[in-house]
Amino acid sequence: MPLIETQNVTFKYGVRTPMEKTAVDDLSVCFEAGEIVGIIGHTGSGKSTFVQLLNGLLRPASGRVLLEGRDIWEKPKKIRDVRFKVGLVFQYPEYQLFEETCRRDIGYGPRNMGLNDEQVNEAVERAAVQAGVKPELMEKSPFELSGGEKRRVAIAGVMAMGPRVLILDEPTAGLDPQARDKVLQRIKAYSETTGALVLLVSHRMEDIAAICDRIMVMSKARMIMFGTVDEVFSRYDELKAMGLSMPQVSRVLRKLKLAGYPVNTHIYDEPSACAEIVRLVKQCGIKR
Amino acid sequence: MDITFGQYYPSKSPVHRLDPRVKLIFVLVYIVTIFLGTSFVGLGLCTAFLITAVIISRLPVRLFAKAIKPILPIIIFTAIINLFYAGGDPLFYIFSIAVTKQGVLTSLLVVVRIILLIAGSSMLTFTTTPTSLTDGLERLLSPLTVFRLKVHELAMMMTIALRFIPTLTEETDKIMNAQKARGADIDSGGLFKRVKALVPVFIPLLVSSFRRAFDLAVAMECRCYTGGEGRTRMKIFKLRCADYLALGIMIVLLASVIVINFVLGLV
Ligand SMILES: Nc1ncnc2c1ncn2[C@@H]1O[C@H](COP(=O)(O)OP(=O)(O)O)[C@@H](O)[C@H]1O
Ligand SMILES: [Mg+2]
Repeated sequence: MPLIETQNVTFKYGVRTPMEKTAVDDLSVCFEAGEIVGIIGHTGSGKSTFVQLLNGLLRPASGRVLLEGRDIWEKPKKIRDVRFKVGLVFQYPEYQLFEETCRRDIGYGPRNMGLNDEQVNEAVERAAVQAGVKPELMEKSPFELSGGEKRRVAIAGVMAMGPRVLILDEPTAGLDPQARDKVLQRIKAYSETTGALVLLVSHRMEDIAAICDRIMVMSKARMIMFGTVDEVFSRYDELKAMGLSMPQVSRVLRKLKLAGYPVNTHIYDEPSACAEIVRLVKQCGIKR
Repeated sequence: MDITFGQYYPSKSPVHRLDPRVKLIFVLVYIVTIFLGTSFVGLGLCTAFLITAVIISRLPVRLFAKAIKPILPIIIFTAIINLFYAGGDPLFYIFSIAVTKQGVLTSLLVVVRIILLIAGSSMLTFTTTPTSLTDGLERLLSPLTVFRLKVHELAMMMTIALRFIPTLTEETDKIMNAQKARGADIDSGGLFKRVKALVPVFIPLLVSSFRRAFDLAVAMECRCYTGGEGRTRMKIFKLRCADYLALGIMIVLLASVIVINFVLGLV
């Protein structure tokens, strides 16, 4: 049984107004526990709307969202329980921080779950480690931290609820390269240590290639492709037509291939690409 | 959130293109006229005028319906109060309270007046962008600078406040959703619990408002904004034929209501 599944889910904004807009259109997809799925798509293709349907912040106009086989809207009064299981980290989550200390802010979710002080503390400590928040930051005000630190505190705030599904909407947007790598590495580690399903919405193909197992491509409110990283990125021309791309290193390999060099183009991350180019140079020799 | 009252409805109708100063004065005079017009004939004239204005402005009628809807309870409440407290000869009885002819008439008058008031002033905001509204206000009030009133600064503050209403609404929605995703329970519980649940929304909202305010201040200073002194404007208001016509209509409307009410004494 898939961990989370959508069946013909449709969602419209501004129903019965002149601005009516279908943001997610008849979308059916299954995600399994333990995998990391990247969601890519042009701005406005409905990615953020789709992930909000998964944790019950939005209710589908038609179709169903199943979590562990059960419709999440079966008991609308219990929708909060769904949100504890399906953690959603919004875009620029640092703007949601509000407590006096990081410790208290990370504990907001667990406190809402009704855990006692001891359990909350335990959850906070665990999440701080999972998200990579340094212990010395815990008693500081979240407003004093750097951008990358704030981002990780905000992510810890969602990880603290121990969600079985962790969804992150553009978690690396606006971060410097080092902070970006740290965040990605923490996300991957969360998936590995807890066996949770991770959905990662991103505009950076490099991020996707670095940690994802599968990729879902959205365009104009619909799901266009769903497959392994290789299956999706090897359809570069279609992606390009949709205003998307593939990792920079893969484009370099592609150009080399088009220029006639015998190179493997099914490589999407930096270390492997590096090794491939070294191999190529050794094979062809360097002409001066 | 639904804030129809005070929302611009884009169009190129003659009413939209009137000078905002003219429209501001017009609405002011119109309101005075409604208060002076204590008779059905006078209010009938105002109603006829408003309907004509709505037709010329090409605004959909449902906009006005939406503007009036939120104050419907107030209208009904005032109507009922007036129905019972007018005195005079009883027409019939409800639960042994006398309903008089005068009562029916006054409550009808009150209802018509409130609707005319709301519809008329909404007309101003439907047909004028917030910026030209504050611009017009600034120009109208500018003589008051001799009394050391900071008219330009006031108008700028209004413009900025209006400009940020949609931004803040959107931001509130976003933060609320983010906290709901962490299990915030905003929609249930008693009053105290609900207010407490809003703290996680208001603090980030406050923080980001300050950040926006500082950013805006820096951006304005970078473009050499130093306040109203010596500042010229890109759009220079100049009264056109239509504007004079509108002012003429305004005077005629006011005069006829005064004549109807106080000279002829019609009811
Ligand atoms: N709160 C909203 N109200 C109305 N329309 C919206 C809202 N949020 C998003 N939309 C519209 O829905 C579509 C999908 O938006 P979104 O899910 O944010 O896309 P993405 O995250 O892929 O950029 C867009 O066309 C957007 O304009
Ligand atoms: Mg988005």
